[in-house]
Amino acid sequence: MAKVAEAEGLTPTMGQSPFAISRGQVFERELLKNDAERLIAALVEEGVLPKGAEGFRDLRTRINSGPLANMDVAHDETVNALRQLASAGQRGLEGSSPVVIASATLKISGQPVMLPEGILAIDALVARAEDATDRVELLVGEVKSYAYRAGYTDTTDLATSRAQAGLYRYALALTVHELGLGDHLSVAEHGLLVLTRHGSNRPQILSTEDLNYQAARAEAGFERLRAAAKDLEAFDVEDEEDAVERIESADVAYRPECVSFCDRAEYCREEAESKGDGNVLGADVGRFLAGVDLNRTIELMGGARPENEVERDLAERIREARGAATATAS
Amino acid sequence: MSPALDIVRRLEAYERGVPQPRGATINTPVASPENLAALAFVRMGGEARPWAVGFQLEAAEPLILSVPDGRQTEPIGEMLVELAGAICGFLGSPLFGGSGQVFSIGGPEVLRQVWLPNGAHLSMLHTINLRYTFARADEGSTRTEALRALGRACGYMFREAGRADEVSVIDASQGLREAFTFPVDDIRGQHLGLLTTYLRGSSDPSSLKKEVKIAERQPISPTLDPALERDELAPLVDDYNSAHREGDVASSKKLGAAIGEVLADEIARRLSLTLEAARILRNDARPVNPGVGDLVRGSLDTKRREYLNLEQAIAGGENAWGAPSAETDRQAKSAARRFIRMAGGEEARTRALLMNDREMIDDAIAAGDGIRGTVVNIERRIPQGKKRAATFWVVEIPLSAPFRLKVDAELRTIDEVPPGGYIEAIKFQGQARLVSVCMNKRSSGTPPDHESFRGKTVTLLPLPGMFVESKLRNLGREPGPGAWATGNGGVRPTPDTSYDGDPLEEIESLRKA
Repeated sequence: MAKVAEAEGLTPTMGQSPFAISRGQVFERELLKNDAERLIAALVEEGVLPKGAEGFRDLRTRINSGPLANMDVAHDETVNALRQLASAGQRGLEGSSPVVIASATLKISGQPVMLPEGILAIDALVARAEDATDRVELLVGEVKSYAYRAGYTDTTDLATSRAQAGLYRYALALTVHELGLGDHLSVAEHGLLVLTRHGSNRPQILSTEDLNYQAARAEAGFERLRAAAKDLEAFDVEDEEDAVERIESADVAYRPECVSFCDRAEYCREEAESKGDGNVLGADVGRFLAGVDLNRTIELMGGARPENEVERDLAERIREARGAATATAS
Repeated sequence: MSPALDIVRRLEAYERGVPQPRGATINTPVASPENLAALAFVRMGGEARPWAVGFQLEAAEPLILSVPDGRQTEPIGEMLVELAGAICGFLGSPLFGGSGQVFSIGGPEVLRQVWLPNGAHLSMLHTINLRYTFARADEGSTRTEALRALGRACGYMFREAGRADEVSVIDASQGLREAFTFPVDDIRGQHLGLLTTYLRGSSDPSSLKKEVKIAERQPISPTLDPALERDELAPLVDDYNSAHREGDVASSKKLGAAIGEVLADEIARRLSLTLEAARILRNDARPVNPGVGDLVRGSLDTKRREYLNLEQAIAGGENAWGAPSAETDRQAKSAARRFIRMAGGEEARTRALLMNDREMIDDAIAAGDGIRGTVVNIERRIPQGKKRAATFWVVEIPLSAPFRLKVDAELRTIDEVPPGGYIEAIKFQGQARLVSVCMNKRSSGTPPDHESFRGKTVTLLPLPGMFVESKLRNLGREPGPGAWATGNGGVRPTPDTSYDGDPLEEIESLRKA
């Protein structure tokens, strides 16, 4: 979206800080050093893995300080690792199978038109014996370098991390299903967030993050994307200029929260305002106006005659809100 | 304010293209320039601790400090030691030359305020509280003592900022939003630069919009613009670290200064906007709500109890390990007391301010949290369960008017004569709601059964804050439910774990039944 924003004369500001990227890389490297010694110890301490658990497989690419050449190789290795976990079963976790896989790489099939194949890498995939069955349970672990501050941890950071982990959980469940490994592998409903302890580089594990909602949301999001892609005229996604033009000419649905993550928010807000979309004053205003144009609403507030049932209802609600505060103040 | 009225006010502000005053009074007191300081932070991407800090007394030049690399623990510690002197001294800590008393220039007790740009800067206080309150490095050194003192001061300010009825630590953008309705959504409304630009105003609405847009592009939170970090700061920091490693003192000094200049600009902008927000509220034409006096007294009292007493004790030789911790309340009883006080902050604030602001009263009525109607009947009779006769008003209000009060709710009249009573019953008649109010509060003026009240429009509001007061009173006294948790005796209940059935089977059998 940064490219589109630039084409529209805006300055992209949503990129990531280079310091934050390197901080994240350093933290991850420390966690995974010496066969993930620090991460596994923290998982044991938190009760996620049993005492004495060991076994690490590093599927990171070279660009991310790992041993593998590229994402395709990482994906093949991930499939092999999942098959190995399934065939070795719970007994394998006591010796031959890894309990932590770094950068387990998954693919979500795309759509020929707009949506290319999605490649996702799970920071830390944890394997353990599932209670009361003989399956191996897989847990999605998302590593973030921000500090855990108990109830004061930034809620937006947490929500973003959970959304990301939920997407991975959906992709993992899909992969296990597509590989036909469901009888031997289960994907846990809960996932892990690996954060830093304040003032140190040591990990703080949040082990009971319910990812059901976020996984369902990811699934619904992909469905919507695929449905949207089907209706599009075919074009070459590699042709950047063409792609930017197509995005520029597409309809937008501005929401106030766009400001916090999209470089194009300012443009979309202006578009929305020019169309009289109440969302420019907040989602609650958008709902309150029930589709009535902002400018028309201002006219109604000034005493214009409502022209239909929706306008009549809106005018009445505005009158009630104003009236309750002032008309009875006599 | 009711959600619908809040929306309508935003629409009105949008129509006029400028912020609209909210409330008939200013509900945030603003200290005098010598008693008001702004505090702002900037941190390196991915880091928790500050990279640069700024502290400025309104009537003085700013103190702006930074380190060349925001990842280096030791230099950050040195920077914060200097900040500790400024902040703790301002708060009156005897460890930093203060009197240990609530500050008292120009009167018996004067409020000193610390203003921060927005909520993200408040969380930096928490980070410093977590990291330094119990700092152990270099035990006993002046440096460690200063860092611990800063940790305690930041902890006090962070806890205080979370209490809705305090006025010592002010989130500037929130203060402006409480005084004005802006023609923007809640997310953009957090941006202090946007708010102050709107309030500066312009004769030309379209140029004002442009100015707002430009102001909004400048970050206000402690996080820097990633482009600034990438394009300007990252190369400087890399070069600084190389020079430092190679022992090139001249280059590292020059590069450190260059980094400091970039960060100083960022801090200065945040400080300037914060002080501008304070001045906007101070110079507003509306009168200050007389009820803020209660809030000021409450804040001074809290400062004495929760900050200065401990600093006095430490100055007197006690060790600092008893300081409130960011990680534990230690004692269930004090945790319960603090929780109730925090939870009741909003009620206490409303109680202090409501009766003095006509618009707040209107908002309360619009939200259904009060009665405004006509006295259609006055009678004297003995209330149920009582022995002495009392006066009852029957107040008629339209059925369509919002109404959220319940029987037994205590009410107060806004004119204070007669003072008020409680709701005895609520009935309906056609399109009207008839509220029977027992006017049992003692009056020294016109008695409530005087015929002059018949046919008069009256406004009655509930007394907020009573829930918290009674809870705080009972805490530590009554051995009721939960007493085991607050140290008042009683036995902690043991959960019954004897159940060994299958809950799913039971649910199934209930379903079949």
